[in-house]
Amino acid sequence: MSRRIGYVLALAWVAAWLTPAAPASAHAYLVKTVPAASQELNASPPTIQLTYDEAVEPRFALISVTSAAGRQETTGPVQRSQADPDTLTVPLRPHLPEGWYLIYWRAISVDGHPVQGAFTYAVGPNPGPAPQFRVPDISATAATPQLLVARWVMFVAVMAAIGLFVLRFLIIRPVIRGVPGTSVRAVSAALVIASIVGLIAIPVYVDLSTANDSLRSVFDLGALVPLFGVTAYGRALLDLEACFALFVLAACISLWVDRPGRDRRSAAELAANLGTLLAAAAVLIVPGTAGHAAQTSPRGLTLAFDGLHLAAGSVWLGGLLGLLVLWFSLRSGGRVAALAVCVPRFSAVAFGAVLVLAGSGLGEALDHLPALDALWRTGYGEAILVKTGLFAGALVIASGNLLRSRPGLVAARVRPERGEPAARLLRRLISGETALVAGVVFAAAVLSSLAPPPPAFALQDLALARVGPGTVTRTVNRAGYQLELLVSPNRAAAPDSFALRITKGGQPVRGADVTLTFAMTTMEMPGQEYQLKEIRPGLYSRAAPALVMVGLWGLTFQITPQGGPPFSALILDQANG
Amino acid sequence: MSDSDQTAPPPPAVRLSRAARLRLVAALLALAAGTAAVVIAVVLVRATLS
Repeated sequence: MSRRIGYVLALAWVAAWLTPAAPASAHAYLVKTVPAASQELNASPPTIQLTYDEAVEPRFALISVTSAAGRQETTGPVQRSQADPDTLTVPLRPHLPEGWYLIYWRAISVDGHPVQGAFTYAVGPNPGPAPQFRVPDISATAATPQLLVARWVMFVAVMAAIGLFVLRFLIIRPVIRGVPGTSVRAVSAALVIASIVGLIAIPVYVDLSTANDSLRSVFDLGALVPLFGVTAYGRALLDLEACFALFVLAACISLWVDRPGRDRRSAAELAANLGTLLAAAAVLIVPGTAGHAAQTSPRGLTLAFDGLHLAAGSVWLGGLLGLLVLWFSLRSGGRVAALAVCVPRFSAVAFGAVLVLAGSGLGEALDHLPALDALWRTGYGEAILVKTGLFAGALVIASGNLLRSRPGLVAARVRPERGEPAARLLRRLISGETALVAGVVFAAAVLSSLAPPPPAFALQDLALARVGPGTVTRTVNRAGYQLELLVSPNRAAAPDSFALRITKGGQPVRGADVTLTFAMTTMEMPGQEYQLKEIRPGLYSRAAPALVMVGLWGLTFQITPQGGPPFSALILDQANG
Repeated sequence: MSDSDQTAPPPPAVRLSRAARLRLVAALLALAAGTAAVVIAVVLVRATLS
């Protein structure tokens, strides 16, 4: 009883240690700009200042300031502000002429995802009408084919190495000595090969990722290597390489000191195995700190889910690979006898790993998705669906192994004629299962390269209407009022006019307090709020370049009629360039 | 002097062979590597959560 209480207290301590007090945001976003969006200044500012919610790296940041004619007005590189590490500045040409200017920015979040945005400001006193700006088209994604393949190779190699170690030392080693003439040397060799591939794949991925983020060539190592550790994302990957190198060292020692022919492990073998398992645990927890898990609240819980997910996936993938290697390395005479002792043990472990995979994956999906329909309406959700489909396919094959191959191998102890067919079926099913699990890992590589939908995505299910692109004239009914929305020209980075005509029983509603809030539903961005003025009886209006990006915007009108209860109306607006 | 007062002869010293000592040192190195990896991960996780 007291031991159980001890476990509970230990778990509570770990949970308390891992759970942060403050919520986390998914990606870097702007919290303040100088000049402010759509502000009209009397004179040109000497610099542009963008303040983010985190310290983004200036060497990965881009700030462009263009005039209506498309001329670049910056005169130097982006630098970190001396006064505030979260603020980036870029110098401007002195005494810019009157007119409108477009600021386009791009930065790298701590989780490695590029984020971007744009807004306009004017230099007066007579800037004139705002022109239609063309927002620069600069690739800003962490999901290029090159990066995805590198990420996949890195994941597969690291997971396979850990899974092969578990299979070699914890699953098949204790029983394999019972089968005369059986060697696990091929599995050991596979472990070494996976380790070498992993040791190479991690720095290669860091190089490719850094080159993508800093818009440099992957071969420009002189410029890239100093940038490897300047972001939290890069530092976490370097830590992953360090932990994995320590794992490989410990695993090689474990292989060297191992004497599989003995009944009991020696103290040296136990110490080496323990050291390798500790290093493996460290390797499995580190990737979460470089990805979405570390940026989604509660971070302690999502990190724990991520570590469990990777651990279970590693045991499954590495175990399957190891069984395949074992199958091909064994002579046909002793193959069935060896598989008959290895496969049932692996099946039991794999069954538990699959349950952990499903549970932790579900937990992560619930944590990252703001609404159920984000599953089929966002790229992130689609990647989850593909991953789940591949996982389900692998489960179907695994069930074939569990129900057909495994019983056949076990029965071969008394009915030898059942052994060979069961072993052949096992090879075919394991080959298919391994391919599907590798596909699951590729889907995970895609998933972890995409930005999860922002919390504002959930607004899409609450909207009264969906309008745009192009000029909008749409009437909706809410709380007994008729609301006619007018938006023109309804274009991104343009000074759009937003008007709301409020009537009740055909009569204009005068003197209401109307506030309009903008929220980008497909990307994490700060919201904007404007007060609408009554320009005619019952007609409330405001002109603002609030739709700073192409995309689906949530326009929330907070309306407080004179003498009436307040209410709100949400309309989704698609703004195009 | 009774039998119980006699000091029992010390057990023969267990001498590890050179190969066994080498394996033990290597195993301790593996344990140290695992511990170092855990320290790196814990520092990283704590920095992430803070």
